Amino acid sequence: MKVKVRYFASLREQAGKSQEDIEIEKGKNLKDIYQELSLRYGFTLLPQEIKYSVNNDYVDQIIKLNENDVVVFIPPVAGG
Amino acid sequence: MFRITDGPIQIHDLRDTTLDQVGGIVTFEGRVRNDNHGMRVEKLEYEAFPEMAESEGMKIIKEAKVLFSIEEAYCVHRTGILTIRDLAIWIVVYAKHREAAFRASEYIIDQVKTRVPIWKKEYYVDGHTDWVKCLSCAAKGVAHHDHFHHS
Repeated sequence: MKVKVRYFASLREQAGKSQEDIEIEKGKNLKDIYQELSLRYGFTLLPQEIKYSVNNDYVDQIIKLNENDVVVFIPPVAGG
Repeated sequence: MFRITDGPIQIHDLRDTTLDQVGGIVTFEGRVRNDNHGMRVEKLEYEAFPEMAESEGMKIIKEAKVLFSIEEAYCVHRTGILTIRDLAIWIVVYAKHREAAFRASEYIIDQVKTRVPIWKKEYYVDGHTDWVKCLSCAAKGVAHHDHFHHS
């Protein structure tokens, strides 16, 4: 199954890209996917520091993903 | 209204003086200061996830209107490179009376700092850079947010 991942802030810099399409195995949750991408790109943020967004809304890490969902791993925010 | 802009925030274009029922107006201006935890800051870079920042920001404005007796509220956040004294965020709350306007403006800034997907990279005078993790403001915002869901 294919999903789109968008990267922001430190994750964008460490991945060296703003977005990509990735293939995920059925049953993988967002934390699993983040940990796999962390190994690939050397993300320095720990899974417990990350929040998850699917299709522009915060979601729980165990949400079931659908084909073509847009996934964003949200680093600690610092607006204001 | 909640908006992200990549240019200077034009306060005067945003002032709404047509609300006859309003007796109290509170504005909050968040601007770039020259130090963070003792580190001398030269400039900042704000980056947003624009679609979600605007939708999450709109939820905060709507919550403020439910929680407090206010007539209207606007918030604008700037992105891109900002230097010392530049305006990063501007909030205005219109209410019949001042207390609700003060409380709503504090709620909005606390929630923005906790939930809106905007990130800040600090460029220090000594040449190094860092993406900021604001853990203390996150804790304060969460306390507010729990109150909203349980009330």
